[in-house]
Amino acid sequence: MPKHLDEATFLARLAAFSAKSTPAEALALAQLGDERALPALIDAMTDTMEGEDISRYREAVRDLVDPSLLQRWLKGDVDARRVAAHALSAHDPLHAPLIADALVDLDDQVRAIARRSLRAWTASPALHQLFRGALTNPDARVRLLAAEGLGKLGRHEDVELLGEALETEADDQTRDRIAWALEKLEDDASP
Amino acid sequence: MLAAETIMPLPRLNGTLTPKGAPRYDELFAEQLVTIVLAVGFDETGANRPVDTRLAAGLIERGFKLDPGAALARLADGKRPAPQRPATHLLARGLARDAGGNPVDVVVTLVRAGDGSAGGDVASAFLEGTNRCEIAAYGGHGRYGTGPDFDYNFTADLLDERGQVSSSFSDYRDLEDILRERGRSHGRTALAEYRLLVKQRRLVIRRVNSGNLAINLRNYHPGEFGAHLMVDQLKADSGVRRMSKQRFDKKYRLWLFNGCRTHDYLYNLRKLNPQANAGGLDLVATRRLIYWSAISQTMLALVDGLCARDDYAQLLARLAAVNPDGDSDGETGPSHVAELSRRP
Repeated sequence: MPKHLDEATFLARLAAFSAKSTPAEALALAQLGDERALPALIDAMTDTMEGEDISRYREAVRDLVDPSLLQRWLKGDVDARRVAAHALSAHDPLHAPLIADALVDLDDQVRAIARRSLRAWTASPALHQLFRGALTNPDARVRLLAAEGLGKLGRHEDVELLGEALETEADDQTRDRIAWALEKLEDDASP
Repeated sequence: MLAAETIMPLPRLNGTLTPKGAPRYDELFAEQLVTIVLAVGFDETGANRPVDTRLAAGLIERGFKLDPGAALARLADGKRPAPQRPATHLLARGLARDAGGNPVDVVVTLVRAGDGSAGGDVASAFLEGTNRCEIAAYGGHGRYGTGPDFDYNFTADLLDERGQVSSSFSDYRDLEDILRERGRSHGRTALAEYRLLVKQRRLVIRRVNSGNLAINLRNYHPGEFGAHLMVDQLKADSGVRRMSKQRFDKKYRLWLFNGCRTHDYLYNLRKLNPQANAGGLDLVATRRLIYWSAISQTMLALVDGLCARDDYAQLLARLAAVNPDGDSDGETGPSHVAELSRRP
């Protein structure tokens, strides 16, 4: 359960964390459940380059965010959307529709951050739908990742969709990846 | 028997926080020109992208002009080799002074990993710059002491009992989280889980090493999962690009490696690269973790310090000033060290 601090104390702790972050304080702030900590937690997570602290910053972000929070932030101004996009994870099926929306955001940075989330995923029906939809995304790099994901998920029902995509795909690398996915799905289905 | 059980420390050079002397400015500023290659590495979360922008903006603020034609013409006038790889070239006239007080022009070659899609090409451009330019600086991941990197490292697919891909990863940090979670219920560390799954062929790793410049493949951080994964994948790749393969013309150079704990590079740079050392090679590296938010300021501080003819003590102080002291890896104090070549 979120703990509550008075406003002044919370803001002072947040300011102190923003000036000098530590993983312990990141986890403590996340436990407070106040979403105003999210930008500072994301900053700490993305700013840290190496070492064991990274996992704890990632854990703090995961502790604080839930899909409804992310949905609200992804409907906010561009700064809010950029922050929220960093917390998207294709390992969580509940994030899949949010990633789909972020992939067609008006802001190129939000789209780029969402695109990167497609590189790490855990199989789920929602993820499968995300990849199928992303196969027609305007960005060839998204289409490539979607084709790769569909190939790895290994569902024969996607052969037709991938075949249609191959017919119209203009990007060489993406076409190559679609062909790879098709070949894999057809081979997987062979006795 | 005792000897076999004795754990020998890995060979290394740590550099010094109290270097004596200064860069050889008479050689760096020959023909009233100095050439610098600045490279920004890659990050899986895109943390390198703001650095790309800030670094270019910082150069413009200092008087550099994005005029490749003028920059290339100045290189020719200054009897410097022409760049052989695509990159961004900027020129600042009279930004520094030589020993006689004459103006020295500065040509900066900027290479950036961007979204990592052309990491091999960017690595080649940086490598070419390290030979061609008097000064080279890299800002980005240290990759656990292995070397600069300009793209993703791998794709790892976790297979279920039926051989189907259940999860996929392209970031060792992400993979570590999952492996730690999986291993916890069996009392295994992330590393033990990784070793077990690889042995069982349930973790299939496809290497992406074209953007790596391998300087060192010793594991100086055996307590860290990422270090094992990085070193394992680079060691297993017979085609990996080793810095020691690079040919260097004989001349004096100064290199800054501005990633986490890049003092791990120093031993091999000194011992395995005789050509690079033949004309004198001064090295500046970090001794602790650093942060993405300070990378552009650090690279710009190097440019400022050299244009101001800093000695090495001044230069290290200038670099430390823009790298806040932290204790996240148990190391505090100044961020950078120097490992200087012998003076003639």
